[in-house]
Amino acid sequence: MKNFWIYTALILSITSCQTVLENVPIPEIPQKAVVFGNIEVDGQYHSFRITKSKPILNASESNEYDVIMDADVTVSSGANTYTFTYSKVEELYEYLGKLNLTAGEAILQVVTPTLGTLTSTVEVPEAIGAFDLKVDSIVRDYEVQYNILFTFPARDVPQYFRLEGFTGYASDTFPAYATNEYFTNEENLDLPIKLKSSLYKWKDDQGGSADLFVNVTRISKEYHTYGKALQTYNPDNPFAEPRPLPNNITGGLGLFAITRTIRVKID
Amino acid sequence: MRVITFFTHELKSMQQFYKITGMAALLLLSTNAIAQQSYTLSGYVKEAGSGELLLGVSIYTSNKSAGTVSNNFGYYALQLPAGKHTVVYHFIGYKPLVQVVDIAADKVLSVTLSDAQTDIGEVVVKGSRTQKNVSEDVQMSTIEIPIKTIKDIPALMGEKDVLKVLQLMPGVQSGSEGQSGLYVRGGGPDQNLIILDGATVYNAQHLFGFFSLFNGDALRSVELIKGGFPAEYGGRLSSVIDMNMKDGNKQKYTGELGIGVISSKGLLEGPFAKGKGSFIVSGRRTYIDALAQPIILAANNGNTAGYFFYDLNAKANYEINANNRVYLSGYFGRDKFYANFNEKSDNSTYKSKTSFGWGNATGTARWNHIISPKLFSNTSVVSSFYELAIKAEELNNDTSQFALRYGSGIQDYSLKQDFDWYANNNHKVKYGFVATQHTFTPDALVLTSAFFDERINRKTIYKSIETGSYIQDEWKISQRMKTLVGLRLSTFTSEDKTYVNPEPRVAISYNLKQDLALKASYATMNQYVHLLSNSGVGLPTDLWVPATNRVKPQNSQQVAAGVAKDFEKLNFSVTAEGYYKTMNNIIGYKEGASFLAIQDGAEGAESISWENNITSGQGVSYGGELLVQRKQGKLTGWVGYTLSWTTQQFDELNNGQKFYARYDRRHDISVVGIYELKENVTFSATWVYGTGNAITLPLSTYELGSLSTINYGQDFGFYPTGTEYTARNDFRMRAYHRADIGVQVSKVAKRGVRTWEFSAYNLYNRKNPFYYTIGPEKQFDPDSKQVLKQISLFPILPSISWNYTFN
Repeated sequence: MKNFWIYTALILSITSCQTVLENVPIPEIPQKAVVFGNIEVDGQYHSFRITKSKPILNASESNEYDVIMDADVTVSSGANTYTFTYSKVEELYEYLGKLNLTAGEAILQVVTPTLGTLTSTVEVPEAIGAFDLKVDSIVRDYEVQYNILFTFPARDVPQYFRLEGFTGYASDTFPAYATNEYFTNEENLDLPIKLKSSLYKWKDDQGGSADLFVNVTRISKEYHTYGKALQTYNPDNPFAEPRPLPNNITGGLGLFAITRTIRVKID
Repeated sequence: MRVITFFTHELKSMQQFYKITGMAALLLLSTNAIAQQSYTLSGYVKEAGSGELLLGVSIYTSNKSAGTVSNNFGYYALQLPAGKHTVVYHFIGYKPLVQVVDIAADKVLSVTLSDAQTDIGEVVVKGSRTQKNVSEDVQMSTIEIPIKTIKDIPALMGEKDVLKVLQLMPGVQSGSEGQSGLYVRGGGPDQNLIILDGATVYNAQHLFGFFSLFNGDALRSVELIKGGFPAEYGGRLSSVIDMNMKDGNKQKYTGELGIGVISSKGLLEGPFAKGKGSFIVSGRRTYIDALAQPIILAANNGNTAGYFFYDLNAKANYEINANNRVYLSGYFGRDKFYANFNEKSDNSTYKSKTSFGWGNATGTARWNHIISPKLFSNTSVVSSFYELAIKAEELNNDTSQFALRYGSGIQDYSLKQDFDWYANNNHKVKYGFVATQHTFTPDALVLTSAFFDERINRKTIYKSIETGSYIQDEWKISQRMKTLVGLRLSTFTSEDKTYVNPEPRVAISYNLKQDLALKASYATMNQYVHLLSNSGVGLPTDLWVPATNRVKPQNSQQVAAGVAKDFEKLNFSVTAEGYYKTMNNIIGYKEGASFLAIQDGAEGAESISWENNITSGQGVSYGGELLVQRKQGKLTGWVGYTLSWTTQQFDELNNGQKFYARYDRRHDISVVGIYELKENVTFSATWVYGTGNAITLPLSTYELGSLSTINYGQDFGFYPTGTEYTARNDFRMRAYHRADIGVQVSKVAKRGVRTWEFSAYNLYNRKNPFYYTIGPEKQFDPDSKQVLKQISLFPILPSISWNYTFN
């Protein structure tokens, strides 16, 4: 009998490690309106996409988000106010034509029937200004590597830029390998800001006859922070620290940006 | 050469340091030195039977005009005027020894104390051998754990664990379920200086933190310091856990054997060289792999997998003469997971071998030298290694197709010199220095692949030198007031940057009554090594890295105040303390960074150093601690309560807003009871309660619109998704509570004592949170709603163990 209890205790000890799953109550999570949009100062077409966030808990898993179709969307700058209209085809709020944005702040206002009013205030960026560009290339058997260096003179305020490379024929554009980078000179205001990157293109005889371009965009600090955050955003990695994305929309989620872009052909 | 130059420079700095502090000390002491002619009574205090040196023994004259305490090596020195004196040697758990001494010159008197239990029969005091009265000691925020208590308290799967007993003390918190990591006064597990015979132990955990390296069998003393740090200690912000191994029995051979649920252990100690020397060897190994191997082999067609860990402690000491003793001690331990896979067909073979191992090794050589009766010297040469190694290899027809070896680790070599100067009965001065060369290898990779015709051989090494010079004076200002004043000067050189930081320390106590003291302390600490961890639980994959040009040393300042009261007749003591601690330059991973990609990730580019993946900030911890302890009697134990707040602020985390640390714990309660029913039957029970850990919870997902000037696919309706989280660590897991019980039954056998222990972990089967995850309420139902799920680890876990002590 004594042995029975000893063996029972031994077996229980070895086998009783187990996983227990138990549902945990949590408070109700409110749904929010989500606004994303970028106004290119010299552009002729501008749009916003407005959707609803979806609580993770107490909802089924899906990647489909409801688009808000009945919001009032305006952008104000100085004495001018521009109203965006909803396009059912594009599922975007659109404005055709150039916005006359004056120096200073521009305000986005989104009024939704059920999720309240959202606002965002963004500084209109200054003109791109003068810059120096250096390009050198390395030719390999199958590709050409272009090393590019844009240098912009220092200003009194921090500068923020985005570089996007792409190949294209006329209006058809495709992201190029591998430039999509963000730059700032926050830590060295007195020094010129240098945008340095490399782009790759197949050699012409390898099917790389398209032209190579770089879009150089002057962006806001919020956009820069958001872009950097997005580069390391990997919610599927269970070992990574949670990465909340920056947000400049009061009353909701998302990002409102105003940019100035120039397109440079790389030869 | 650089090292020699550095040491020369350091020695010059130290000479200056000692010159200034020495002059101040001499000035301070001169008032007493000229007061009267006195002689020194000095010697060692040993335990009768084993000859073990006893530390912390109170030695005083019967009229209490003079008194001292034996040091960490059992040595004492007392100044007495010429004439006859009655000297009392008193140590709880031992029969007091009274000696009449006639002093006419300096005199050496080494004594032995007998275990009280052997002399006073039914009076049970054996559980409290190393504890002083709390109102007598100037030092505060210090906890001494008797080894017997560690052995009595019920433990997970019966594995006795020093660090888990420390978790039951106020101000010390555990991390997650079953983990042995310590969180002391708001600090992380990396902020604890764990020392074994003077050697730093970097990763004190087995089996991913479920067991610690220290099982107690080979230990003589364990002391935890949470604040008011003496100047001899430095290099960590939050605590010092100072453990000393036993010296070994000098009189006879004794030993211990133990068989538990997951491991077995053994210990042997005894004399050599006609009692001038002694040794102790102890070892422990798990055997789940050996037991399970036949089943695994049968179930997997000859393929094997398993896990084991083992520890080996050894120490020898030799008394050269009355003034010189030498010690040699070491620890070696290792954890290993392994899996081997073999496949054979008619004309080919395929083999794969994978292993994941980590381990510590420490070694200490010590020389105790009595320079004069008033001056005791301890010289140590210490080494400490920690290594993580991951190996994987695939062979086709015995030809290597793929081989990977990844390693990280740290190697330390230290030279340490300490002096105890018994200047007079009012001033006990301690001074010394330590110099350590660290070699950090955060990342070493060798990869060969026949398929890709590729070979990578990468190794990152940082060499740095850390020094600490200190002086402290335990000054008895009056019969009621004592102070411990010290200064430590620490330096750290890494790459081409040298940090130099003075660290003032002061502790003061004032006795309102003989058994009632008010205490206060202040300490500045600097930490020059960082642990990169985003698991927070002390995984072996956590990396030790040095302070560099960019990553500054961590720094803390702590003030504490409290009251200590002894109720000697009732065998109770009560301490209540409040503390406030600020921490600067603490480090954390940037948002989105992962330890799986230490060399890239957050900056999104290739070959990014770990320095780019981390960010530094500040922390504040404050709170109150209450400890009610019964040290003697049939019922011993304690009740501890901690009320605390710990917040952190990093510019790059949580939008720069302050947030609660993951292990911020508002309430933490522990109740420990050990009841000796009969001489051979002991019951023990513990109950713990802790506020739930603070975690970051994902709340909702949303569509990320495009801001790009290029079409990345949004024209086709493709948008990535983002996640909205709570503010950092803004959600609380459920509270943790658990009760454990145990009973030990001993029987005297022919050649020793055999003890059975039966225990149950998590007695009332509480489902405590280990971690939370999100998943469907109904598995395999695509329409099922997502719910938050709690993963619990241990249900009620009974265990049994058998021990045999022979003599």
